[in-house]
Amino acid sequence: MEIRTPQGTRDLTGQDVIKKRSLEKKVQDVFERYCFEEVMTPAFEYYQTYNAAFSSLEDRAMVKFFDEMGDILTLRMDMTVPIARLAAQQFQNAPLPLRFSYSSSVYKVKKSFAGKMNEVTDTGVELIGLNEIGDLEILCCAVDTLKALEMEDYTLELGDVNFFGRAAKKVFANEEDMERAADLIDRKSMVELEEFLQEKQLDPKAAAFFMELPLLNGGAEVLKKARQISFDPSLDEVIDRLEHLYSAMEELGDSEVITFDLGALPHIHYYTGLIFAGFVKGVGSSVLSGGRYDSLLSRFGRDLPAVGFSVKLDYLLDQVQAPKKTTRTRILYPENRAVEAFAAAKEARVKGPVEMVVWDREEIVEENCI
Amino acid sequence: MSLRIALTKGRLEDKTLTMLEKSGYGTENVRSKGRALVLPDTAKDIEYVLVKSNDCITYVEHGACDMGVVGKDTLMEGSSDYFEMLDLKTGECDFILAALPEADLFSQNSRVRIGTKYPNVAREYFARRNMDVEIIKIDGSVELSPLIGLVDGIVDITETGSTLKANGLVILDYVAHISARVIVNKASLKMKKQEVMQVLGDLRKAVMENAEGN
Repeated sequence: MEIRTPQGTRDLTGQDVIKKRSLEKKVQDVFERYCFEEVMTPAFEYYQTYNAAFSSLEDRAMVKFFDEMGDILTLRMDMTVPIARLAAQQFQNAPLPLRFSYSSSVYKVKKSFAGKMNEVTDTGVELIGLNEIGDLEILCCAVDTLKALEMEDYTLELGDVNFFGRAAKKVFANEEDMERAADLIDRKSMVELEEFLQEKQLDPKAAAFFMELPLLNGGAEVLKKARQISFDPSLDEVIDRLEHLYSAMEELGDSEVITFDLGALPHIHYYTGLIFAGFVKGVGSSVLSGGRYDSLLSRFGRDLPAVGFSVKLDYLLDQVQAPKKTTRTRILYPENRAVEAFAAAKEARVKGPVEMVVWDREEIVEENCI
Repeated sequence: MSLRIALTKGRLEDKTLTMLEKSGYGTENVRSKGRALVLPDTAKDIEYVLVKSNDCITYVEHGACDMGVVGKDTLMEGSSDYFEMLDLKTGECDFILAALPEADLFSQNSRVRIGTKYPNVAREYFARRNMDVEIIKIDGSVELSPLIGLVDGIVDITETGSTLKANGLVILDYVAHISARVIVNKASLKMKKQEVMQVLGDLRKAVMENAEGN
């Protein structure tokens, strides 16, 4: 058999490890300043846990295996579900809100030979037990996180699944149509969306609303446009909330990086309100993503609202330079004077890293190198 | 910020370039291509690359190209992690189901075998009809496979139907209509919105002019 890393995984070495750890530290420093407490959960969960969490599970994307009892296990696909499970079970008497952070590998099977990784590190936070009041805190933390990455150009894009959701409930007859519309809008698949809406014979105002949704992205002017196409007070409410968040960010001096996309509709059965995604120059997909998921914890027996986000540090490795290595001391010594050399090293290590090199000369030499 | 656009080589290439030229894009480098693979626009801050259709999706999904022009047939068969934002209404043809006249695909008792270059499209089509069929991937001329008894029918692309007719095959159903589409990388639409919308707008204008011309 050929010996190599399994499909979709890789070894990380040298500069890449240094870059990743340095990014991770920058992000975790932000999380600490927001008083998020780090947790670690098992690398695998019962399949049942994920099955309970999602109404439509990406079954094939899960790495599954059996335990000795015959139960199905799965490598964790994300960190939000394990933390929701943890919060629902173990923190029942803890004062709310709960603030958890994490940085762990997550696993999803991607298409072969497409250049995508099956194992990536998710570094993020969950704020559990606060309703919409918590949105501002999580947005501030997300902006600070993007800032901490020190990228040349970045944006944090906000949306709210209810803008689509409430409108869709009013016009679509069934869940299936709603899901189809959400998928087409999320992929900005304009051609098929138009065909689909025609086929459903919506009234012109509603059809125009859904045709406009995929294009509702950009700066704060998007919210004005959204108000024009809104056809129900319940939709205006969603815009009010986004406007409110935007002006709060404006007052805090962080609105410059904020944009909107009301046509972003990832996982409509999972997110229940605000959603957001961070983009940086040079990376072809979002590097930060998150949102409000108020119905997840109730599936684990504890009805608590929650909001969170995570960063995919692996996507950023090509965008950053490794920090300069610190200087180190090199001690060259002959084999027969090892104890003497290690005594010197013991002292030198207090100040910094020491590299030991055996050589065939008689003397012990200490030198600085980079 | 400069844009990089992936153009699918061959049939769609010329048609897309003509549409871009209408809005003053400088496509000379692409027209007179020598060995260069990355071809700068002579009028705008844009680079073109000429790629095979499947690669067009790959380059755009990874953000190596911001936009791409590719046939709907390729999009239907491949993955979908991009925004599909415009129908160029050119390079039009159809996905069809065809068979020999004596074949009776929808009521034969034995398991139906289908030859195709597009196994995902074929699988989805039959799944929609709630039929469990065996799909056999063919790489060369698919029309051959029912003639020599390998399969009962084929799912393939046809523009005029003449190749099918020449081989004695009849069209049983239209699976989907196909035309050239503009796809956009998800992050590019966010980070280079103005530039991307400009190209989309120019192309949309060309689509409308083409429609009036017909």
